[in-house]
Amino acid sequence: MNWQVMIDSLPALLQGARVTLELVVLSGVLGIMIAVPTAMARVSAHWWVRALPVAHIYFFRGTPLLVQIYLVYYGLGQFEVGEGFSALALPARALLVRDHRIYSQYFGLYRRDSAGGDSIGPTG
Amino acid sequence: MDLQGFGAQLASGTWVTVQLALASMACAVVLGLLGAAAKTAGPAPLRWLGTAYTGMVRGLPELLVILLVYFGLAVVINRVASALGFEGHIDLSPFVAGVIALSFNYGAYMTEVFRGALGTIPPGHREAAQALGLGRWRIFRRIVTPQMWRIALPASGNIFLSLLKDTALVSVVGAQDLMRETAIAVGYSKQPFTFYLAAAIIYLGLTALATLCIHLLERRTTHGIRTLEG
Repeated sequence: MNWQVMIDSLPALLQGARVTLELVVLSGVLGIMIAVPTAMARVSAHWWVRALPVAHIYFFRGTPLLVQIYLVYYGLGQFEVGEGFSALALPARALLVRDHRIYSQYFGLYRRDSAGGDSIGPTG
Repeated sequence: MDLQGFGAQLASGTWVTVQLALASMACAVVLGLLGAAAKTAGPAPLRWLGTAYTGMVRGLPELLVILLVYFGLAVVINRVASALGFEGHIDLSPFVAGVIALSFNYGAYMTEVFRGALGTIPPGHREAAQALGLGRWRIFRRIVTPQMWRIALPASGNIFLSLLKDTALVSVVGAQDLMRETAIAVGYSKQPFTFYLAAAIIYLGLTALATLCIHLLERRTTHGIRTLEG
């Protein structure tokens, strides 16, 4: 094993680790921002409000991340839309939506009927 | 959707994806059973080995393991083979490397699932079987396993769905799976959106089919047991 090569490439690898962290934080924050409203729509009493989040969750949980990234990064090129759009936030969103849906259903946070009629509003 | 004659190519890729997923899952289940046995009933060094295995896999990206196996393991195998006096070169195909890497990763997840399922079986069941004079192997096969499957199945199902999607990563080292065939079709047709969307729809179909099979299996294993759904 060539240790010198490994030591020499350490700065470049650390630079990559920085990008990894940026991706994690950015997609995490974006994911939560999209997940909360989508989760609220997901547990709606009206089917037409539920339809979009249901389709969204179904698509992003059922396809590989690699396909999603290629679809956004290369696929959008077919229509000449900007390529700098981050694809990673989409699946992160879908997963978080799922989590939020589970929580929201368990605790009835977004459901007025489970919080004792209208006595407690949707925000608290 | 106009596939411009690439339909047969996508179909053959889909078949390779299915083979990859099923072969890896079979190996992962075996690894998981071994891992769970080592972690729950083995002597201390085996327990440590099991903990190191699951802990390590949890911290490694799937793609990194695939690349390590494809580029690294082949070198190791050839070094060992030539040290043992073997003449010639052993090649690791992308498919085999993919199965090894995926089974290694998902074996760790299955270890945790089986370990949890084993923990739910009351010790009294094993003791009763011992009192009846059954041997260790028969207790495992007749008493523990049938109860364990039922507990382990829902989590295993989720792990299989995740595995099915992760097979797309093996295309990176050149396995002729759905992802790779799609990329080839994109290279010729210059229509990335059409073909990646087609691939996404095929993957959705596969996961839907897998979900259905898991559901049927769950119905079978919970036969005679009261559940919330009735």
